[in-house]
Amino acid sequence: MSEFKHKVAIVGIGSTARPGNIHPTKTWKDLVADAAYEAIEDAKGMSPRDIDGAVIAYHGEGVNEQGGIGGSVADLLGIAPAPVFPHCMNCAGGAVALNTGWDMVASGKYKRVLVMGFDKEGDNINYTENINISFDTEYDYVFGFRHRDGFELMSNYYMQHYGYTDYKAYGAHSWQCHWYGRRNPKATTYGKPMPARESLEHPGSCYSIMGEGCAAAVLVPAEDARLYTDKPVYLDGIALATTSHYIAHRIGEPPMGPAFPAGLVREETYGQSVALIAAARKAYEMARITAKDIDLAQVYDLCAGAFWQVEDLGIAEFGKGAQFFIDGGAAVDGRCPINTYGGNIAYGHASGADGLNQVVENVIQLRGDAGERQVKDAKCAVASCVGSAYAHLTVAVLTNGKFQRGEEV
Amino acid sequence: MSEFQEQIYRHTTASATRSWRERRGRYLLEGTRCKKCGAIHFPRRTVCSTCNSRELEPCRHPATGVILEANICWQATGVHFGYGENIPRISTVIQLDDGVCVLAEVTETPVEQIVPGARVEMVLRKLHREGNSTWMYGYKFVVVS
Ligand SMILES: [Zn+2]
Repeated sequence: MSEFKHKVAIVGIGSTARPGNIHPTKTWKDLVADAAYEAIEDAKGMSPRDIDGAVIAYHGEGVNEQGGIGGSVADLLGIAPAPVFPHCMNCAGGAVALNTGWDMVASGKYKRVLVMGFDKEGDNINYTENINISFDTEYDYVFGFRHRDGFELMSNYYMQHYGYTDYKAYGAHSWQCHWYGRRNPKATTYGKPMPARESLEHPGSCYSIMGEGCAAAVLVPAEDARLYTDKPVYLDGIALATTSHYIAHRIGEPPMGPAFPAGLVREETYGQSVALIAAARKAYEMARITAKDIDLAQVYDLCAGAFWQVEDLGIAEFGKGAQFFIDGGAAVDGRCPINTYGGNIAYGHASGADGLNQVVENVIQLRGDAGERQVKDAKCAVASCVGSAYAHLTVAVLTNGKFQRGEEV
Repeated sequence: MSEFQEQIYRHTTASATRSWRERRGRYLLEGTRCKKCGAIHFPRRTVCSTCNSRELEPCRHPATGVILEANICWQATGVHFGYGENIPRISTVIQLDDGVCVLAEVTETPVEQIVPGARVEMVLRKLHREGNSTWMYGYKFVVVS
């Protein structure tokens, strides 16, 4: 395992509310400034000019029709000439920004790094086009397939492969996300009536509420954390794994050559995201944790995706992820609470912000500030995010000061 | 945020040049075979994903296979490509008889027959009109008994 100069802490978080809505009175710049300044303000005593490096993610240049965004963001936030590195990694972008922010602080090159992810998809390109260019367009753009076709194919495959013949698990998972969303003041569904569980037992209940928003976090070396907060949260592990966008590769033949994760049998991983397993292993190794240490997790819910994600994260066995939701494992007092912010299903989905919205929630939980949806004694929280239809996979491991590793107890 | 019924402007990455360049894949299911390790690929690759060799040769895959997974979507999609009338939208992953997998549409087949395990055969069909008004053709599949 490589040695890094610094351990990294998150000392400020910010996010715009209701990312499942279009915000017609705001520009993308308004949303980014709202979340970024909230995060900087959250780091006590920090001022915007203290930021010496930043990262910003969005779904893709084509989608937001805004290129060369680094300079615009430095100018917008009044942090010029600090560098702003852009990322276009579909829905995983926010977590990829966090990964880069970690590198910047851990290396010792930067001291106070602002990471952001946003999306403003209602302004520009039409949605059909947005989602079609999210694939590898060299492969299959001309056939007119969408992301949603990919997610639905993968979900059908998972359900059939593991013998789930009805949509009870969809209902349980969706209902649980709605339960959390009704307890998160920033969620798109907050204040809305709660759906009946039986009404959600169909394949349409696990789609994202699409919209616009931004999330942000401030990273500093762990030794500086107490300058800015009484409740530092540590980013102990973070990894990004990437693979082919081609959906047929996902179902039949993960094209990973000899780098196929050790100990896994190719045929036994059908219906799983092999790249997510690789990312989880890397992040857990960095953080020196095992799946048993995880107190709660945020996963990228879309169709049946949450089922195999809890499996790939090691929270449930292969094929048992859907049953985990049926059994109430994801509830606030369950075996491992999942998507405590509401997920894409009830919190809302602003593509580039997703990966950071998950992490913002984990910070709130590890600070003990989650109110009604607080997970008791939360010490170690994981977030896994997906970009494209499982081409970009991120896993982030966060802990607070109370977390003790097995070998240290 | 809706999927419009009428033709609206395209961001367009599928230029006529690009479509022409990939014609052998679309017409003939031509992918690549690695001269070094023998791995076969579809769509064609530039680097072998198994051994990293760049010594690849064209390889025509069989036009027959089996449906691994299917999805039927009753919403109009791909409207800007001229697929708006194409309801339901049928997407499948097909494993060809040499083992490679293809994301493809199944056509001219009753919906209830489009299920995992069904045998399929490639057919060449008209797809949509390109930016310079030429018609594009490419593979689809039909279920055979
Ligand atoms: Zn090879």
